[in-house]
Amino acid sequence: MSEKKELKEKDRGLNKNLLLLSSLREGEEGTVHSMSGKRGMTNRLAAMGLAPGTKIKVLRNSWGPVIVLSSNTRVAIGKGQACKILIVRDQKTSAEEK
Amino acid sequence: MKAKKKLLIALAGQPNVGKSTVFNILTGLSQHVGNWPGKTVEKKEGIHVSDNVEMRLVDLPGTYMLTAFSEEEKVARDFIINACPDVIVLIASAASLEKNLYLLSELLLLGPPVIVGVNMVDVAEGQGIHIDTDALRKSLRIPVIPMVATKNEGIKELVSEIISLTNGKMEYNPPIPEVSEDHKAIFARLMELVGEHISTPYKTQWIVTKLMEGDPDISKMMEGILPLDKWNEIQRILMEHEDSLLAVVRGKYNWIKDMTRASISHFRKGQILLTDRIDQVLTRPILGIPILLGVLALIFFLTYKIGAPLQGGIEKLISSFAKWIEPALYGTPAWISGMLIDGVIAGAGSVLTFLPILIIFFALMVLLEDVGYMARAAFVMDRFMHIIGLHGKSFLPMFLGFGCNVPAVLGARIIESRRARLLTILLIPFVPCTARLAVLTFVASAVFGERATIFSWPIVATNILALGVVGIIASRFFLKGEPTPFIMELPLYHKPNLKTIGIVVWKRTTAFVKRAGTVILGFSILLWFMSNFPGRRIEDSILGWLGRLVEPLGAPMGLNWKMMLALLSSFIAKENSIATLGIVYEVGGEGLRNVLPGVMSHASALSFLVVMMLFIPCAATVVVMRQEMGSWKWFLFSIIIMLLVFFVSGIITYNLALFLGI
Repeated sequence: MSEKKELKEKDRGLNKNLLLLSSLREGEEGTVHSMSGKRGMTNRLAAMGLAPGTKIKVLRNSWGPVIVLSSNTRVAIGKGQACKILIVRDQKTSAEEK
Repeated sequence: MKAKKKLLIALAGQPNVGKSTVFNILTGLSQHVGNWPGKTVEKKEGIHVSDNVEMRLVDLPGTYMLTAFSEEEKVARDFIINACPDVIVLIASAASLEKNLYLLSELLLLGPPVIVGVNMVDVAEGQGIHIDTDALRKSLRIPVIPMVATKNEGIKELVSEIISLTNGKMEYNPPIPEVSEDHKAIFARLMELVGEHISTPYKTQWIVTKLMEGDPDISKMMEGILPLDKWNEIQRILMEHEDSLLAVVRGKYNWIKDMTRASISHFRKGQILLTDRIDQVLTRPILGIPILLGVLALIFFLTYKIGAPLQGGIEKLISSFAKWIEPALYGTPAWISGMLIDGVIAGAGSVLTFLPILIIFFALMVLLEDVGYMARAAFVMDRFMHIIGLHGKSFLPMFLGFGCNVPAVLGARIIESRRARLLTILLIPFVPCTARLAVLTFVASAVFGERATIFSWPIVATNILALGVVGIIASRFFLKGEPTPFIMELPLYHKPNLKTIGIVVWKRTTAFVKRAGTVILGFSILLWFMSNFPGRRIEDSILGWLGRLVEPLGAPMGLNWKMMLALLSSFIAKENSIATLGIVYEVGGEGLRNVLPGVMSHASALSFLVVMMLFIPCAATVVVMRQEMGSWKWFLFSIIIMLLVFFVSGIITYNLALFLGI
């Protein structure tokens, strides 16, 4: 158990661009890394165009749900669920902002 | 004459792909709307005749996929498996084709041949996306037709493809998605284990896929069918490979990528869509919330500005109809003419006067839904709805409740989780409908005169407050459980389709008229009998007796037995309370408006209005509540809650009003 956790943290340390969807800023782009939570939700999101490996862009992330653009579909995702989706942020978009 | 060939066609598609437009074009006015047997899911059917072929089209609920996690999805897949349609037509949106093919990947496993209609190619082109449907047809090896349903393009081609596919003149041999490479061995082993136990109409590959997805229904079914040792082995394999769902998902995505590689091209990149520009404004909290409030205010303004004069007109029509029919009833026993005129025409007729207001309100709501705004309203309201243990989607049916609670309760079907749906239905009766607002306006203006608005607004606010309080308590203590996450597609904005709007408004209106003709008519007649028997005067009738029976309950709320009666009669239809007040105060020619101020104290009137707004909803709403809740326990619970709320609020209002000397 603790070994697994350590591994995860190490993984994160290696890649500072691995972020929760809920912590991405508006306009940032990335790729879905993984999802946790109920199976039904993973399947559901996949059917709506959001699955591990798909490219996404955050359109809105302020007060309320996150709006994500993926597979040319705009999906509003509640904050709770957005905390269960890991994103690899694009170097390009975070660099462009600087 | 040659006998007609009959085909059964299932129309499938994800939400927001224009599926209902296609269905409406194909079936026109032959559509029949009902419920799937034993389910609270709408079933739409219709007939399309072309040459010598009669097609029965069944419009499956719009779903993103076919799991057992929502009732719609279960209905759709059970229909395909059990009814085995001759052809499944999948309507897909060209603008988000990859996502739409996810549903195709599920459909192909089920067996019946599939035709894909790639709809909204014009919208996709506008976004710089070109779909080469010929290339797609080549890779999918099934018929693919480009369509613009809103302009009637591609419909004819779709029909002729259906016919030639069923004639067997076409090769049909599509490549089927597999699980990702790392799980192929497990997949094969599972196929071996279940293979000999699967019989028609089920397909082994589909069953195994569903097992790997962790589908609760199929798992349960297989547990019953398989010998214990085999089931245990399957359990063990699936436990060891917790990620088998992801293997299925990855397999589907790989398949989609393969299928679309040659057919999707982006010829213009990086442009900002109109939808995103509008959303920049509408989904920004600082702007979105005031805009939503403004839109809602505008809806009410338009509804009453246009609807109220029309309502007055219909009232006049109905009363002149009553006068016109009266002479025709001479010679019939007094109870027949009394029942017809004071029971049927006055009761059910007064309900019909609400038609103009309802039609305008529904039309505006459907218009907002059709252009894509309602999803944004749900988005903006999400945070607020969390306070009462719900999320944004529940806002949509609740708001519909301001028009009429009945379609609002039915509208709660869009909410996936049963817990949230029950809670939404429980709260809808606290939303004041047009009928209750009409009683409020009438009595308030009669009793309070110019100060009517000062008293009306707090009363409406009391309803919202009661909704909030009940929501907070019910979600914390009774309907507990983790709320399902809010996930909702925000569709592209588009021009309203008048035909689609017209059909929805037409369906809702006819449903309302049907109820006025059945439930409300029945209750009106019953009420008339109760108020005329055994004695002719209301004091001597069953109703009068009932009124005196409940009088002690009214006292702490400052209501005498006449007001209690008016309240009780509002159960049939809310506006009945005005008619009842007219009868029990024997206003005759003087007019209720002039009589009321003399017989109702301000405190009692205020209490009466608060109580009337919070009382049990009308019979029609109660009937659909029971039907949609699907449980006596929760139904009775909600009735008890409403009784408690109205009683306590009545006592508080009355005593507060006395204390303040209103």
